[in-house]
Amino acid sequence: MAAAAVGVCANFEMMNRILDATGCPVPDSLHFVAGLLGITGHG
Amino acid sequence: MALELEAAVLPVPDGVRAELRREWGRLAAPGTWLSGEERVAVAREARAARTFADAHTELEPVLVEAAQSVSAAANLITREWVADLLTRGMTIEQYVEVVGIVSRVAAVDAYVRGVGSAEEALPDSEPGEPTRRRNIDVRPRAAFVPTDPEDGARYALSAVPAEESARDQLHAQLYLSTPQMADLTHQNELSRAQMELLAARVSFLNDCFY
Repeated sequence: MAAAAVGVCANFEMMNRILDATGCPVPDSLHFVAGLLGITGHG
Repeated sequence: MALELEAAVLPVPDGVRAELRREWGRLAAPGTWLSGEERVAVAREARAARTFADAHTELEPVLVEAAQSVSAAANLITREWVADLLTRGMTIEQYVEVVGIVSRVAAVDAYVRGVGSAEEALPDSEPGEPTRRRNIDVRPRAAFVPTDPEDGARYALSAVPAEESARDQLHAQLYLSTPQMADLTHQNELSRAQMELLAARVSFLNDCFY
């Protein structure tokens, strides 16, 4: 289980850099998720 | 063979070990817009930048700046800074390739360190020419880089398909594949809630805007 946790953390070390460096926002097709979570006005 | 991870204190799944080795192979080989030598040099600069050092490679200064910034200060990158790199001679495809390399080296190094092993030496570069394969379907959208078919995490590197594919393969081994992500009931050793809690915590510590 610990190794799996390391894997998830390592993956997001990658993804965080990709997203920050490309400025890629959440696509329109996924805005409904924010609405489901109640964290924005989308959805 | 690279990435034996002999000092690891946690069990490394065969699939992860194989993917890390594939990544080292991709790093050493000629890419889409950068040679193998340039790709390994980008990785070397990215590693050095974590301690605010300079690896003194032969890379062009604009490539060094991009590699160091994505490695150590990605959360501070702006659209204007990316545009400025382009005015200084870098192409947007080269930038996307640098982002792919630096981000995957960050993942490999984090994993190796996390399982208790020593940092792996970077591979020797392989000769050959970059493929220069362009994705003609990308379009400017809200991101700093053109994307296809839309913005979002999955397509952030779509301007350089080989980089997008490499990200996807490593992502599938370390976290979840795209089909697994779509299945909210999927879980492996960790529950989905545990995985998302870890993801949120890492992203918070990295101050990731997403």
